[in-house]
Amino acid sequence: MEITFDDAGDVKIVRFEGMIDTVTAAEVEAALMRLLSQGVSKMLLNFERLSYINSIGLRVILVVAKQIRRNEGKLRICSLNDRVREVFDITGFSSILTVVDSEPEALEAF
Amino acid sequence: MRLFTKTLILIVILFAVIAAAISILSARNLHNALTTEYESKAQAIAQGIADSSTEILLNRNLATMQAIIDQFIEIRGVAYVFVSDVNGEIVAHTFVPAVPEEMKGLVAPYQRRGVISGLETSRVEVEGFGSFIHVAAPILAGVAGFVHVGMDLGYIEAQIWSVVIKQQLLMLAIFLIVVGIAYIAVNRIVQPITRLADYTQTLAAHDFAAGLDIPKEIHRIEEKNTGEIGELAASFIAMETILQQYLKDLEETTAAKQRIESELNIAHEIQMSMIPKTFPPFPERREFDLYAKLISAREVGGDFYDFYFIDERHLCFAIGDVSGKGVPASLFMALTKTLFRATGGKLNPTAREILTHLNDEISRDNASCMFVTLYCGVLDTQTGEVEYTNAGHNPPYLVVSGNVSMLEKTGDIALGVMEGVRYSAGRCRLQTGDVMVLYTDGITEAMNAQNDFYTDKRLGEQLSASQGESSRGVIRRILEDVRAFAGDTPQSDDMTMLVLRYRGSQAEHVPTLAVRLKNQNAELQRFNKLMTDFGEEHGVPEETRFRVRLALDEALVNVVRYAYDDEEDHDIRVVATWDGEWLVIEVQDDGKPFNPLETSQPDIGESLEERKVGGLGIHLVRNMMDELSYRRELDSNILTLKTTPRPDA
Repeated sequence: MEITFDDAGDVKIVRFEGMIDTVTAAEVEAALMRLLSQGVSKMLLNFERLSYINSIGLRVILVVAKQIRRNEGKLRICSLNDRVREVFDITGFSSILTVVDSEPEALEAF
Repeated sequence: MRLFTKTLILIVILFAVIAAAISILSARNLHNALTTEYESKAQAIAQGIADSSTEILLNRNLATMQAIIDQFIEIRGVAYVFVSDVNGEIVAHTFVPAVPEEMKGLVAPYQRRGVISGLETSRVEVEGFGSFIHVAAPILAGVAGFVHVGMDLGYIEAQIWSVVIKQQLLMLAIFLIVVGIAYIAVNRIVQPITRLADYTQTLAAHDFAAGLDIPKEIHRIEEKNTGEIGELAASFIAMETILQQYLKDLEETTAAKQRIESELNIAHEIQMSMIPKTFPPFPERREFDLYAKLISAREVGGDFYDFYFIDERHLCFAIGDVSGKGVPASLFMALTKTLFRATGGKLNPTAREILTHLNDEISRDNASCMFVTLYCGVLDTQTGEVEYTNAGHNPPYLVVSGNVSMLEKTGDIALGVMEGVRYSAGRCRLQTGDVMVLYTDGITEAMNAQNDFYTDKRLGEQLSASQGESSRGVIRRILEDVRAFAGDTPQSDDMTMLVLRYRGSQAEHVPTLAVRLKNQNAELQRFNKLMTDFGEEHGVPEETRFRVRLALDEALVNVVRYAYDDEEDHDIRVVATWDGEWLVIEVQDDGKPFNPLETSQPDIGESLEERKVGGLGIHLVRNMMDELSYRRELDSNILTLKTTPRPDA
């Protein structure tokens, strides 16, 4: 699992490559929480290269989303592939989180 | 020209030193000689005048006195002549116009001295006039007076100088002539050397490929000089010719080597094409999973494997290793393999018969005395029975339910040693899931930098850990482990493996994956890989594989987390079957009674704030799978998941 960071103005873009599962979930949570503690309030998660996510991974996203909400920040997720999209749909995450198709669209909406 | 300049400078210095030395010496000698001569001259004059002046002086015939004196002033070197009387008065002199005051002082030493018998010679210096040799001759023993004769030393010095200068000029002239001659002479000697030196420079930059072109003048140097220079020039010429030859030879050798290399590469391709490399080789035969790999150490080598159906039911498979390496071994390998194929068939349906006949064929015309170890087995795909013969080869491993054992050797000799050997046969029976692993000693004898062997032990350990993997997976695992073990050490022998996994006769056959895993997260990864391989291998569609993966991930995580209260290791058993339409998976654990299906559904309509963190797993499992069921059997929880491929959205 590789996590890379990028900036677009005051938005922090986090790109994932690989899987968020039982093994990598802790690492992802730590990285995202670290960003929050550094004061990031606008975060975009780019899932273009994310091949797989399980419920543990979803849990991490949920925890981070709740925290950002409390901080009055904004979280968006973009570029999900079909399979991951389906997982988000089934679990209702597509409706409680802001999921956008592409990165440019997501950045515009911030 | 540096050599030449050095010599020149040396000659100049030498000459200068010699010239200086000669000048100094001769000047000295001349000075002494002249001085002595002048002294005696002065003495003679003084004495002469003194002897003939006694009467004249006594008579005070001054005119005559003067006349006599005047005669002598003409003589070369005489500076003055004067006569002093007994009172010290100068009565006759040659000074013009008068006696200088300073000269008068010369008389003083000779006044009233009494009787003096002989001449007195001395050096005097007169201020403003110079240095003189002063001779005083007594007249009548000094009683009448003295005759004083002075010789001009300055004159002597001037004479000496002129001689010295003439000498120097002469020497300079000689010197220049000598140097000129020396220059020409040395130049003549040095010139060939210079030319050879220049030639060496051009040699260094010379493109030998362009051919030899020794300048004529180098040849001339050789011809014209008989001494060391001539020899030097001769060796230059010889050297260049030899170099030219060497380079030509080198070019030829390199070309030959390249030719051989390219031929070896082609030979490698031919050899590789002789060995079946398509896997699975018989995809329609589900009774077994067969995979093999050969990695040769050099371009060509002596290992091989082969397999073919003797008849509808019987699969013949073999692995072999020719003694030696490289081209000879590869030729023998080609022969053996071809004969192996030709020998087996309706006439020789058993391993024993195949090898017996094959051995006779190979041993017959074996002039090179090469031999080949070979293991051959015949699998009855209906029953799982393997009849095998081992001609001196490493006995294969059997992996049965995770237990690794080695097949016993049949004690037969390698092929090609001698004709007429009767080979024996061994038998064993494979159950579903059992694996037979064939290999050559390139694997067990692979070396690392410390010269340790990989050993059977390591191979056995890896096979133990490979439980549940496909044949391809097993080979990949072993080869990776060997590579990791060997590190940078180059491969010294061919490495070959053939793995045969029995799945059971067609009647009862459904692709099945049976895995035991421990209740640890790391095991989940291992299982995930096995499941993916299984799915790929049996043509389960990608979207189904994704769903199954996610569902099993969630189900197993649940078990690992909730089924056990203690910290112990527990076994979880997963069995998956795929009949082409339905993928059925059973997850069995021996944990506390737990029915995951009873977990409450998460409310997916809840908002972000209200949404609880847990409960997603089972929700996903339900959605990803088509059917779910749970039952408790004895001490085990058994969760059954079923799904069928869905059309891709």
